[in-house]
Amino acid sequence: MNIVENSIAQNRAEELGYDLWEDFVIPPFYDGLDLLTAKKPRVVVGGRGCGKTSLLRYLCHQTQFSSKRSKITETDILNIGIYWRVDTQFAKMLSKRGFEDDSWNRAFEHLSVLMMCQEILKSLESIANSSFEQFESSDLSSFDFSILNSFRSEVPSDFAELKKFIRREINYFQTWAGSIRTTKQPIFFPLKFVKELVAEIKSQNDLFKSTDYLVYVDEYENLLVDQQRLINTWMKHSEMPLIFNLAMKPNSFLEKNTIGNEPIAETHDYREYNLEDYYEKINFEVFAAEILFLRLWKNDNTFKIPILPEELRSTETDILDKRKSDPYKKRVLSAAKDFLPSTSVDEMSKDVFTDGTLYNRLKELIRRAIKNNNLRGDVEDFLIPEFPQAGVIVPALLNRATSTEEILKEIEKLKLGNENKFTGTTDWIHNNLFGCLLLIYEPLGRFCPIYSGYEAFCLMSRTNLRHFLELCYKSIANELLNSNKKALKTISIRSQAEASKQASSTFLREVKNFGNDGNKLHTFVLRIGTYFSYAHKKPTQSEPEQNHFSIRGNRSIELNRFMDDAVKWSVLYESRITKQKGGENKAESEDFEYILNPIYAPYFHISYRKKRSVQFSGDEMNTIVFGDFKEFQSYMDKVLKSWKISPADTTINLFTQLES
Amino acid sequence: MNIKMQFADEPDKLSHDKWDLSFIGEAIDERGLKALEYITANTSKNISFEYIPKEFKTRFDTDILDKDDIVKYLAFTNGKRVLVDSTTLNFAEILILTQALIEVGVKDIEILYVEPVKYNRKSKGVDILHKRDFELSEGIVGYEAIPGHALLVTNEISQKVVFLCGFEAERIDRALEDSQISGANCSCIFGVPAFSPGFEMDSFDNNISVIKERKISGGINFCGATNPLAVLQTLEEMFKGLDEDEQMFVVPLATKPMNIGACLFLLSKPKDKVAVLYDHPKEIKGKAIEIANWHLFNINLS
Repeated sequence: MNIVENSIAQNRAEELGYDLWEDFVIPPFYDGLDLLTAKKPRVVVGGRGCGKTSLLRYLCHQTQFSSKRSKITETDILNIGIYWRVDTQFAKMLSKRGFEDDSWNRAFEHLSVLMMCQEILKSLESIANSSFEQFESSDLSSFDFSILNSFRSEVPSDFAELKKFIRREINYFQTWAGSIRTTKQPIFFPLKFVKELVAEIKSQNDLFKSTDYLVYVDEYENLLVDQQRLINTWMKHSEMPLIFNLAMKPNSFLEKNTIGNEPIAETHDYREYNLEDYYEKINFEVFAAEILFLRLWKNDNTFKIPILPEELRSTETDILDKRKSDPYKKRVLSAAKDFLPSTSVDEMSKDVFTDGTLYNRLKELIRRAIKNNNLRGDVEDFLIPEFPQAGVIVPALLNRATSTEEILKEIEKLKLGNENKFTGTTDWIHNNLFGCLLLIYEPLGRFCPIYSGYEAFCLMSRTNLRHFLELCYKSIANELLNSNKKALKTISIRSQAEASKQASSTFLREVKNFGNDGNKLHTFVLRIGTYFSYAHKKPTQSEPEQNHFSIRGNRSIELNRFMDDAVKWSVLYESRITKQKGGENKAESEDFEYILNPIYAPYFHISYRKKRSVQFSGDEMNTIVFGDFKEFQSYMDKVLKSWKISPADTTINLFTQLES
Repeated sequence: MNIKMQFADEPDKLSHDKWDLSFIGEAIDERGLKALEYITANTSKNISFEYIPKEFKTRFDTDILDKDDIVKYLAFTNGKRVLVDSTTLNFAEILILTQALIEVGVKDIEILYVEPVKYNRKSKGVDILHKRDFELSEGIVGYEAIPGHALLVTNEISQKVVFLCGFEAERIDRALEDSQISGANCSCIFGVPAFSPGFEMDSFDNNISVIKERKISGGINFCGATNPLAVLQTLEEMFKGLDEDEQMFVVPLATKPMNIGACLFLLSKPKDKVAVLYDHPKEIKGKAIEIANWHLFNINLS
């Protein structure tokens, strides 16, 4: 099974092309989206890698009328999807240059019209070439588009000729756009041209008389403001049979104006669907497992999977319901956990006492705690191999105000099976174990099992399918390399944990390319990651697993803008928190907390679980985001001093990568 | 198009006549200053040139005009001996200038390039994992078309993309992130032999992960880092392999001489077949250190 080179490795919609019939898994919330039936525009919002483009491409004619689809009915041609992603590097050229804004708007409209017409004609070809029997390739020539020559006499009436004409027009437009002073300006087509084309298709063939065309404009946020206004105008005036829908990253729908007087408004003009919100409502773990198993099966049909591939592309309610049923979810998740097994925290704790290196590290932490806090007792007094989970958290307790006598007393109670603070209501173990395990593994430069297991992969991916698939792909690649096995039934902890580190580094490096401020965002991730990394090393572990934050007080416009950008690119996830203002019965105020994308957790050796938050002042956050290297270093020095951490305590100096 | 190349360790060893006109940019390092000093001593008139990508404007000394209007403006250069200083001008500026000069009717253009001994690595606290990181660009405008050398990136027709690779792999990553280009349609050209032994390893090491992650599988080629002719010839070979319907994009992210090769290629081929993708980096002050060889490329366009 050569999985590596195939299905799993393709984690971007662009790599899969336009026909996703055999690759797309219908999300369980699909029936709530009405994207192929809505008569009003929809705006699909979602961060990078959450499956926006795949969803749009699934809705479009290349997939809906795929030659791989065996059954296509008349109902399917009632709504025809057109995917349109504007080439923004080219589109940006359609501005300024001594040409009026209005003229550029008309030029952009012309280009858009040509691109849409090209796709509409292609959609007819898709249907003709599909298994839909009532419409054949020979039917294409029956269309007479002569009405279109009212826009320009050269527009041909024949289907094939019209297709060629449009292509020639696109080519000519490119030539003109490159040399607007020396090449004759084309006669610009208005949007009405598309509407007339659609009207002709509907009126000339009864099969299409009730057909609506749904245009999905992807990456809307990358267009120029004037171009966005034009598309907003089309969206506002969308009516059957031509509806405009948009897709974009979060925090990107900033321009609501149209070229008229009225801006577009949510609910009245469009409805917004945030894909990541939907993922959070469903069981993302099951959905991700379905995709993983489909990919594994596609690569090797002998691979045993707990799903039926054809069911994953069915939009029938009973099948969607089945996929949401408990027995199904249990079966799929169980298979996923078998394929990507994890080590329990209990097993990890036991390992600390049985693995020489880990054991020495634990002893060193206890020794240091005794010495630094001038405590009485020997290291051996605090080693409790028979209760490994308790044993692992002892160094943290020794660094706190908790007296050694109390710790020894609680250890004794634990050993006797009496009520104690390790497991009782105080529950030291529950509150500290994960953080203490991370602390033990931190400087050893070996793989850390915390970053393995199906559940961990889902938590680190959050709602990002690209991240999830990359973790799986790298795990499989590592396993093939480490084990020389030909048939993989399960992936070792080591291969998974190593994959997490590799994927984390890869995705961290990618941040540099996130828009024009990518370098700033990259520096920010390194800085905030470093802050959390040190916070995880606090000897007391009093607030373990800090990995998200809020900002108190006023924030500058610049800082707000930066935070919005970080959320837009999914470097941070934003979550609303409600605060009570001044006690009981007082008005509540809303604020946000920001979670560092958990995919970066393995790189910084921090927790990917959302546990504890830290509150920064606006000034502190300004230093982290905008401060120069020296300012940030000086801020961190103060923080580390207050935490009683010396940078020398760490094996690798994390400051080394922090220069902007 | 005919190209003559010469280099020397000192400018006085270069063979050329005095220039009537030299187009120069802003010096950001020692070699830039030396280049401008030499040019000033050997030119009747220097003209400072700048291209402002987001505005599609150009600046000739203090005259600001639309990029689309420069051919008319440069009419006076016809019949003059012209030098373009590629040490201080960036790729977009060299392409726009040379294209305009050709349209004006200038038959011979000389291009000067002063090679650095080394580039500025990230100086403070560099660890072993980041030793190949360089400080070359302080900001990037992003991929924005250069009018006259732009085509739509589309899946409608087959499009080949050739990356000329330098040290900054993230620029390749961004090109693929911002567009619908598939790695399968992309190939790379590396500068080998490099300016100096070892530079090529920096370039390989920095780019290899992007090539892998983005599944760039169209092939790897090598051309001398100081040899625009080799780049031109390699690109021409690739161009010959295009089908009638295919188009080609060049993404010049390599050394200046290699990027000049890309520029000459773009000048010599039909505009509906080849185009450039360029992200307009703002070069950081002091990016290059010391001076190695001086190169003079004579381009005959007749």
